[in-house]
Amino acid sequence: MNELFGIPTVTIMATLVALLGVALATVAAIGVGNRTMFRMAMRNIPRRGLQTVLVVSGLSLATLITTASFVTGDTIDHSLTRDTYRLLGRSDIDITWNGEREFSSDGGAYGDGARAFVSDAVVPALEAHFAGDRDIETFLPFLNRPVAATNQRSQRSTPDVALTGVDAARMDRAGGLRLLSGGTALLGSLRPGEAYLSERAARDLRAEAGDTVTVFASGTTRDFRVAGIVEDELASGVLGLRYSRVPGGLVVPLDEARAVLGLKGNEIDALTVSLRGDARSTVGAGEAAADRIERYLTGEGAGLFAQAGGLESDRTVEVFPVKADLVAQAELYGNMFTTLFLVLGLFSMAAGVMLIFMIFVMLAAERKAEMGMARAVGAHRGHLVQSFIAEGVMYSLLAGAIGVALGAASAFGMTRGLLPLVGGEYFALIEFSMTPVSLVIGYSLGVVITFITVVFASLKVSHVNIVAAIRQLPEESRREARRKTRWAWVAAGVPALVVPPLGLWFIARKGFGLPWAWIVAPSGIALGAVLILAGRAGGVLFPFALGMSIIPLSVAALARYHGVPSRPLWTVTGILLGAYWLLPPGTHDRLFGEFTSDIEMFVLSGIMIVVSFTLVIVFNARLLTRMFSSQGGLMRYAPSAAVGFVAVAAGLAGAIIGERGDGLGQLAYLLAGVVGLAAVLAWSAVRFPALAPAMKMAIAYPLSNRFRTGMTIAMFSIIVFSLTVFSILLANFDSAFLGGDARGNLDIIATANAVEPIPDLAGVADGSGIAGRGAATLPTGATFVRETTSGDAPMPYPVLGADDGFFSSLAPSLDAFATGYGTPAEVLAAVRDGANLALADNAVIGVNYSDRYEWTAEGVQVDDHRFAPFTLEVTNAATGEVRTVTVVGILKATLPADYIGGIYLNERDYAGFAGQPVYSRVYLRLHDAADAETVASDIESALATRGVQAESVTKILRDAGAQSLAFNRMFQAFMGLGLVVGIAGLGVIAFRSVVERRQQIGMLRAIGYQRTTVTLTFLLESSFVAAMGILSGIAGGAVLARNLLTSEAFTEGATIQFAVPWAELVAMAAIAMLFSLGMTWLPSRGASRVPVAEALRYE
Amino acid sequence: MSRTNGLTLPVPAPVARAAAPAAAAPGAGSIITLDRVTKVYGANGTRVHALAGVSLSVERGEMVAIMGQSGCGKTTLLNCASGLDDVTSGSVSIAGQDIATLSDKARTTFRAHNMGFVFQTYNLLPVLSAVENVELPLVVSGVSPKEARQRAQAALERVGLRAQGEKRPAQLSGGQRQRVTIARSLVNNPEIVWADEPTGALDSRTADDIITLMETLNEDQGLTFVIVTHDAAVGARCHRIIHMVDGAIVHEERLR
Repeated sequence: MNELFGIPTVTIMATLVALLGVALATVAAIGVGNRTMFRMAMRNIPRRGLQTVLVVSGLSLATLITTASFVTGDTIDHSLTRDTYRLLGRSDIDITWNGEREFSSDGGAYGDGARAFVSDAVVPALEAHFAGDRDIETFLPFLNRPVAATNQRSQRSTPDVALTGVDAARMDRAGGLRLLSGGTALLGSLRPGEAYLSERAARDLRAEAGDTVTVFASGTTRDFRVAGIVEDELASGVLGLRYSRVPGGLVVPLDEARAVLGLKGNEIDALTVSLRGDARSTVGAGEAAADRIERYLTGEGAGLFAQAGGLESDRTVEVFPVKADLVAQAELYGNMFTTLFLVLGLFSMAAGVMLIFMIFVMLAAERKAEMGMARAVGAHRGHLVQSFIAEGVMYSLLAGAIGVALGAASAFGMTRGLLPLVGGEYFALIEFSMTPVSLVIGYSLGVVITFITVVFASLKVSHVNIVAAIRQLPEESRREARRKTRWAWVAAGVPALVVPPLGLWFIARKGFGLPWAWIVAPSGIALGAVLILAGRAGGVLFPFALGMSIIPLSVAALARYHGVPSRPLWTVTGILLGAYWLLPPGTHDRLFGEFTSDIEMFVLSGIMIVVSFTLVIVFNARLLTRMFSSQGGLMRYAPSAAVGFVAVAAGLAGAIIGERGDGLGQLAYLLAGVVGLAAVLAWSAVRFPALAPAMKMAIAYPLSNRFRTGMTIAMFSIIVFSLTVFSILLANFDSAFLGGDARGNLDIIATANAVEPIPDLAGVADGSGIAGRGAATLPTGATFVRETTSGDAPMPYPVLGADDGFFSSLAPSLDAFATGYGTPAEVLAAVRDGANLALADNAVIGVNYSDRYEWTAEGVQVDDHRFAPFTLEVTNAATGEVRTVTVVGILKATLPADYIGGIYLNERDYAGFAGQPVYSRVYLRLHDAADAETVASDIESALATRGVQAESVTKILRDAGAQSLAFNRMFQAFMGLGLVVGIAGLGVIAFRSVVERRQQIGMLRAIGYQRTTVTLTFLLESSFVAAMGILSGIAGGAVLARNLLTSEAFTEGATIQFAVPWAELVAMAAIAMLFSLGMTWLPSRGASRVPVAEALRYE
Repeated sequence: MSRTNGLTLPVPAPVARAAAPAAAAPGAGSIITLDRVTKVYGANGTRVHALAGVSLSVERGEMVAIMGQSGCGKTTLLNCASGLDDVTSGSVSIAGQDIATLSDKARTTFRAHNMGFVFQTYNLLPVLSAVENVELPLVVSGVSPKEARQRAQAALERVGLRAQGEKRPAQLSGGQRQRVTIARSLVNNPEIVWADEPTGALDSRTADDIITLMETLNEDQGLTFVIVTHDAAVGARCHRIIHMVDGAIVHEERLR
C-alpha cells in the first residue's frame, strides 16, 4: 500500500495523526482548564460496566472497518509482491520480440501463440556493450516450448509441460535454480539426459527425483532422469503467478532443449536481464537499466537483433522492467482493494457514525438529571460539551485499539479464511500481512471520525431544560423564535466571512438571531441549487442528484418550522425522494439529460433511498397497529384477511408478469412476501390474543421516539441495502456470464500445445456423444484490430481462422446478430460461405468479465440482440496484411478470453490474411445424454502424449466462477461487518428502553404480565425495528438493482434476465434477524427480571 | 386476638376467594393477613430494616389508609403485602393463600386474578388507548378479546369514562388518567385494590373526586382498598388509618 485516491499513504497518515493530535490536545486542554468537568467525564466511564462495553464496541466499528480495508490491501499487495519475487527470481528485465509477456494474467505468459526465435548471438553482444554497467550483471537467454510428458514410474501424463532451455553457465552465475528441498540447483551439474522438474510439473506428473520422464515433441520421444524438483519460477519454465493456469516446466541446458525440439542449434525465444544484487534489492534499479538497454537497442544497437539474432526486421524488440512493473502492479492491486473496501465501507461507516451519535444521545438521556443539576449550580452548556467530548475521546482511544485488532482479525479471516475456502487453489498465494502505516491510519481515522461525531453529538445533547432535566420530565419542544439582533456579532461576522461558514454563523445565528430552520433550510436550498447547476454544467450525476435530494429535505425542514404537520410533510418528502432515486431505467435521462457517474453513486443512492424509506416508515408504520384488531366475531379476522388478500394479489401479479426479464414479476413476489408476513402477524394477533398488546406495543413504542428508531432502522437498512444490491447484481451477472446459457452451445474445448497441430479427434469422437465439432486457430498475439469508424490506433486482439465445421456442425449460439439476417443459422452460413464477414466473441461489445484484451468495439449499439453490422480493420503484424471485415454475429459463450476471445474469419479469408490455418483448438458440442467431463477426460487420456488438453466448458465456467465467487463473498463479508453496527445499535436501544421503562415494566408485572411475556414484548420491539430496517433495505436494494440490470447503460448491452437470489436474501435477512434477537435477548431478559417493587418506585 | 407492635389486631381467618365481588361491610372476615413480616434491604453491613416485624390484618370490604413520613416503610409494606416484593421473613396471606411461598409465576397469576393496582404516576401505556390499557390485565390472563373489551368498557363506565375509551392517555387529564388506572384495577373483578399515593399527582379537587370514586366502589361493591398516602384528607375518608414509623406500625385509628 503506497497510495490511496492518489494520495501517498504516508501523507494520509501524517494528516490523520495531526488530527488525532488535535483531538488529544482538546482533551488535554479540557483536563487542564476545567478539571471538575474532566474528572466528571473520567468517572463516568467505569460507572456501568456492561454499558461501557457496549459503547466501546460501538465506537470501535469505524476503526474496525478502516483497518480491515487497509490490512486487506496490505495482504493483497504483499502476496502478489512476494509471488512476483518468487516468479522472477534473478530476472529483472524482459527483452522481448514476441510482444509483452503478461505474467500476471490468469493465462500467464505461456502459449501466446507462435513465438519467433532469435539467435543467441545477441547475448554476448549485449554483454559486451553493458560490461561496465553499474546495475546489469548478466543476460539470461531461454527457450520455452510446450511438450507432452509422461512419468514412467507413476504413469501420469500431462499434455503440456514447458520444456525450458536455460544457458547453464549464465544461470549458474546468477545463482541457479532453487531446489524444493533447499539449496541451489546448478544447471552445470546436470549430466546428459538429466533435467530439473518444476514443482508444478512434478505435481502434475506425480514425479520425484530419480524418476524417468518421457517427453513427446516433434513426433519423437526423449527420456530424462529427474535430477531434482525445483521451485516454480520463470527460469524453471513457469511463466505465470501462482494462480495462473500455466503448466510446469522441465529444465534442461539450452542445447539439450534444442536437440529435443529439432532446432538448428542457436535459437532462443526469450531473454531476461539479471541486475546486481539479490532478488528483492534490484527492483529500484530496474526501470533505469531497462531505459539504458532500450536506448541502446533503438540507437547504437538498433540492428543487433536483426543482424546477430536473425530476427525479421518487422519485429519490434521491446524492453520491460518486468519485476519493477509487477511489484508496482501488486501495489496498485493492493491500493485498489483498499479503495474499493473503503468505498463499500462508507455504508458501514455511515451506520457507525449514526451509532456513535445514538450512543451519546443515550448517555445524555441517562444523565439528564445530573446534567440538569450541573446546569442548576452554574455549569454552562459549554462545560457539558467539554465533559462529553473528554469522555467520548477517552472511549474512542480505547475503542480504536480494539477496532484495530478486530479489523486486522477480520482482514485475516477474509483473506486467509474465506478466499481460499471459496476460491480454492487460486488463492493459495495469499499470505497475511499488515504494515504499521495501515494500522496507524486505521486507528487514527477511526478515532478522528469518532471524535468529530462526538463533538456534534455533544453539542446536541448538551441542550437541556434545567427543570425538566432535574425532575426527569419530558422536554417540551417549543418552536424556536427569532432572537433580538446583536449588531456586534453582525459586525464581527463580516470579517469572519473569510471562513464562510463561520462568518455566516456569526451573522445569521449570533447576530440576527435567526432560528435554526431559517439558517439550515435556505443554506440547503442554495447549496442544492448550486450542486444542480454544477452537475448539469459538468454533466456529472453526483452533484446533480445530491442537489435534487437536498432541496426537498431543506424545504420540508422550513415547512415543518412553520407548522406544517410532520407526518404528511415528511411522508411526502420521503416519497418524493424515493421516487427520484428509484426512477425507472432511462427516465432520469429523458427528464434531466445524460450524466456520467461512477461507484460513488452507489453510495449516494443507498443513503438517499434509505433516508426516503426511513422517513416513510417512521411516520407511517403506526398504521400497522390497526392490523391487530380488538373486534369480536369473524370481523376480527378482517384486517389479516385484507392484508392477506393484498399478498395473494401481489403473488398472482408476480406469477402473471412472470419471468419477463424486466424484473417486475420478481418485485411483485417480494411485495407478496413482505405483505404476507404482515398478514401472518395480523392473524397471529387474532389467533393468540395475548400477543396482540405486545405486538401493538412492539410497533407503537419504537415509533414514539422517531429519531432514535429512525436512526436504527436506517443503520440496518443501509447495510442490508448494499448487501442486497450486491447480491442481486452478482447473482445476475454470474447467471449471465457463468450460468448454463454462458456455454453458448459449446461443451468441450480441446487444445493442442502450440507446436503440435491438433490431431484428428474423429476416432475419439465416435461413440462419445459428440454432436458437432468445429476447429479454430490459436491466437498469434501479433494481430491488431480497430473499428473503421473510429480514429483510434489499432490495438492487439486475436484474429482467428475457423473451419467450416465451426460455422455449421458446431452451431455455436449467438448473443446478438446483425440486422439484415433472419436467424443465427443464416449468419453462420454467411460467414462460412461469404467473404470478409466475421464473428466476434462477446467481450468485443463489453459483455464479459474478461479483461485479457483492452480493445472493445465502442461504437456498437446492441438493441434487443440486434445491431447494425460494423466493420473492423484487422492487421497481421507479422505479414503487414491489412483487411477490412464486417462483424455480423456475436458469440454467446462467455468463456475467458484465452478460450474464446477473437474475431473469427472463415478459413479462406484467414488464409489470405495470415496464411494456411493451423487448427490447434477444437470446440465440441455433445448430445444431451453425454457427460462433458467424462468425454473430456477420455479425449485427454487418449491424446495426452500428443499434447492435447481437453476441458469441459462447464468446468471452465465453474473454475472462473469460483474465483469471482470468492472475491464476491469477501466483499459481502466485508459489507456484512456493517450489520454488526446495526445490531449494536439495536442493543443500545434495547438497553436504553429497559432503563427508560422500568416503571412500566413494574406496572405490567404488577397487573399480571409473566416474565416471559415481558421478555417477548421487548424482543418483539427489537424485531420490529430490525425487520423494518431489513425489509426496507431489501426492498430498496431490489428495486435499485432491478433498475440497474434492466438499464442498457449499466449492462452495456448485455441481456440479463433479472432474477432475485431469494435463498441468499432470505438467509441474509434471517441471519441479521437472528443476531439482532440475540443482541436484544440480554436486555429483554433483564427487563423481565426487574424487581417489581423497585421498578415501581418513584421519587 | 394477638398483639403486634402494641396493637390489638383481629386474627385473620382463611377466606375463600369470592366468585364475584359482593357488597360487604368491614368485619366480614380478614382478607389480608401479615404476620411478623420483615423486609431488609442491602447487604455487607449496610442493611436497612424497611419493615420490622409488621403484623396486620385487613378485613374484606375495608378501606385502609397507611400513613407516615417519607421512608417509614409504607410503600414497602404495600409491596410486600401485595406480592410485588419478597419478604425477608414472616408470612403474607391473601384470601387464605400464603403468597410468600408462591413462585414468581404463581404469584403473578394470583395478582392478575385477585388484585388491582393504582399508582401515583398512573403508569398507563401511552401507546395504547384508554380501553386497551384497561383490558390489558384480561388479555394477558387469556380472556377472549371480545369479553375483555366488554369488561373494559364496563369498567370505564364504572369510573365515568366510557366515552373516553378510545383516547390515548396523553389526551386525558390527570384525573381522567387516574380514573383509567382505577378502571384497570377493577376490570379483573379483584377483591383487593392496592393504591400507592393515588392522589399524589393530582390537584385537591381532582384528588377529592378520585377518593370519592374509591369510596363509592368500596361501599357499593365491597372492594377492599389499601391506600398508601401522605394526604390526611384521603386518610380521613377511610375506615381505618395505620400510622407507621421506621418500618413499624405505631398507631391505628379506626374512623368508621
